[in-house]
Amino acid sequence: MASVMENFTNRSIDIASLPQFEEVSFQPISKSYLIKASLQNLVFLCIAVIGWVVLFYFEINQNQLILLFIGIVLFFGFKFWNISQLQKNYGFALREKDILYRRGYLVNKTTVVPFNRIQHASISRDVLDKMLKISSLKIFTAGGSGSDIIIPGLAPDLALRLKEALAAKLTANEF
Amino acid sequence: MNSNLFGVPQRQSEIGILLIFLTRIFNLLKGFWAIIVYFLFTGPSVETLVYIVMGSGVISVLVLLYSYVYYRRFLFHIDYENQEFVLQEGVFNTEDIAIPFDKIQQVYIKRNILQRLLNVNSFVIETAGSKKEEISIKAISHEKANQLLAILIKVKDKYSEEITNIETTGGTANKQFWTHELSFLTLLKIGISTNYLRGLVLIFAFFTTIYNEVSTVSEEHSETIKNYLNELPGPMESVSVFLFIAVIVLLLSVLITIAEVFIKYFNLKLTQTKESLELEMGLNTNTKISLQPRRVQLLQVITNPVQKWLNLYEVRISLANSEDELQKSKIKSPGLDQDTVAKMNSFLYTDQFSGFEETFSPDKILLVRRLIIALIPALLSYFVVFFVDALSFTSWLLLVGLYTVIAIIWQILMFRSLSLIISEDFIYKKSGVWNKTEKHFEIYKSQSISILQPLWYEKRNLINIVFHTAGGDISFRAVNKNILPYINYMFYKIESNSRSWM
Repeated sequence: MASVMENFTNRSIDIASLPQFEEVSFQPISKSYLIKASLQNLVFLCIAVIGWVVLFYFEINQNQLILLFIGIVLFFGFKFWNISQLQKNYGFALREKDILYRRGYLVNKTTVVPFNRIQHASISRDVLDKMLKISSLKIFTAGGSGSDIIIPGLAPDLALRLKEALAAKLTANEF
Repeated sequence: MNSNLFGVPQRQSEIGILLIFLTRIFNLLKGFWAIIVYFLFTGPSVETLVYIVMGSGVISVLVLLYSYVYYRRFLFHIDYENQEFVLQEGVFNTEDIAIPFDKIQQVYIKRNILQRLLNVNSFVIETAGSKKEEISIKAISHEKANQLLAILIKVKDKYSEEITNIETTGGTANKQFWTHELSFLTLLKIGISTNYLRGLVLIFAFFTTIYNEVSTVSEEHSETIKNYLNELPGPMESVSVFLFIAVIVLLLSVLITIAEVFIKYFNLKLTQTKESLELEMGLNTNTKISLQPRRVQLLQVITNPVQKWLNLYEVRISLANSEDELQKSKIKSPGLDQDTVAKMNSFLYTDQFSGFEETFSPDKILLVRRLIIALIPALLSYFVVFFVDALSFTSWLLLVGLYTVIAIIWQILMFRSLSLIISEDFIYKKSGVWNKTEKHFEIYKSQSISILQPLWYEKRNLINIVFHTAGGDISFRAVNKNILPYINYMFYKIESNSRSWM
């Protein structure tokens, strides 16, 4: 490992003076994503309601039906509330050498992916994305699914620019 | 290379249309054979027979049409410029597949009976990646298949030669530095000391089933059982019978484990050469793996008190062979002594400079939460008392008391064993009550890091951290936020390091 030794310098590092990822200000994602998430939730709500109506039609035990109804209301009420909270917490930030992605309300999660560890990036749009004019940016690493990030609700041109920026950094980092 | 053979997109043999047609028809018949047989046996009227014949006629024409279009759209060629094999296919949706020469793992020709009759071949290209990328040309003439085979093997070999050349530069003399072999005795030791827990579980399962059997039987035939028990020579005798069976079960489980260990790790041999660590083992399937330091993503050292006393450590290594198949290679090598583990470490990680070293422990709240989670089943089991008459309140109290004591002790030991050490170049995570595990990896080999903060940790200033490596995730929960400067240091390490991680 002679090559390693050549590059080796052992200057001391003041850890406290290193750039702090927690100080970065995040950019929010598009409001349209809130609509998308709500629509998706609405579809599930419809399915649940249809299921409930079918059960109601077949006159299954009244008490259970009421319990089920309360369950549905509580669950979807929570979902809608959670979606609105989640929307506030979605955020991403680019630094010189890495990309940060933050999401989650009950459990707030920030993933930091250094550019020199990105395998590839892609943009995906489903039907709702196309209707609402947003897209998702997917960033893949070799660290498995936990390490990959998917940033939803980006304006298509922004997603494209981000992807191109990442691609440029990718090639610049190849050794 | 004969210039541009297969340089332009081309189709399969014309006879391929027939092959595709026959294959499709055969598949259809295979799919509907039940219906066909049913119809034949019910004795259809002439009218329905006519319909059936007409229907199958229409279907045949459609399939023929499909086969023709399939044949027309199926185009393959070699792109010499981009070093790829290119295939376009698909009737309804078109697929464009390009396989770079370096991704080709295997090329071969095969033929089934139908292909033999039609005098065509299947030409198959296998790649290392997902199954989807596998290419199979169903109807290609013998002559062409051989030509294509020759060309692809040539380019493939050329490429892999290049790779091996790179990898062996400078290290032509594979000088051996040290070797470590597992002796017969060590294998025996491993066999005895690894899995007696399973033996205990087996015994437990054995006794609970016996007990269940006895209790259900005794309810039904309490009289006969009593009589039978009276006939037995004495209570001591029956106990000794039980003990005897228990010992046999334990011995059997130990024997099975020993056999397992022997089959897997027989002749395990670890050899260090200049370039890599060679690991060889196995009785019936001999595996041979070469460990190169830069491919190592994560290293685990596992031992338990008994094994520690016997000086046996198990090392597990996650390797990254190629970017496609990351999780595939996890190498287990048991029965190494402390000295060998240290030697492995110093070979795999050349630059272990002792800079700073900071140890982190999880917050007490983690213990409290784990205890609560562990005690929930105990509380829930109280309801069982209501429904099962056989269980009296006192015996429930006894069982739950025992469970609680064990759970609390276990959780406290578990909590105590957890620690995360961040040094200048490495991350270490220690855990485990009985099987003590120490995982470590080089900081610059992490792929990304996630920092999680549940709402209920906010006040306490705690976070969970997940390090994503190519060898798997390592998480550490409920650690104080004062770890953050070190996380930032990790980013600095990853981003300022130009070494490739594999």
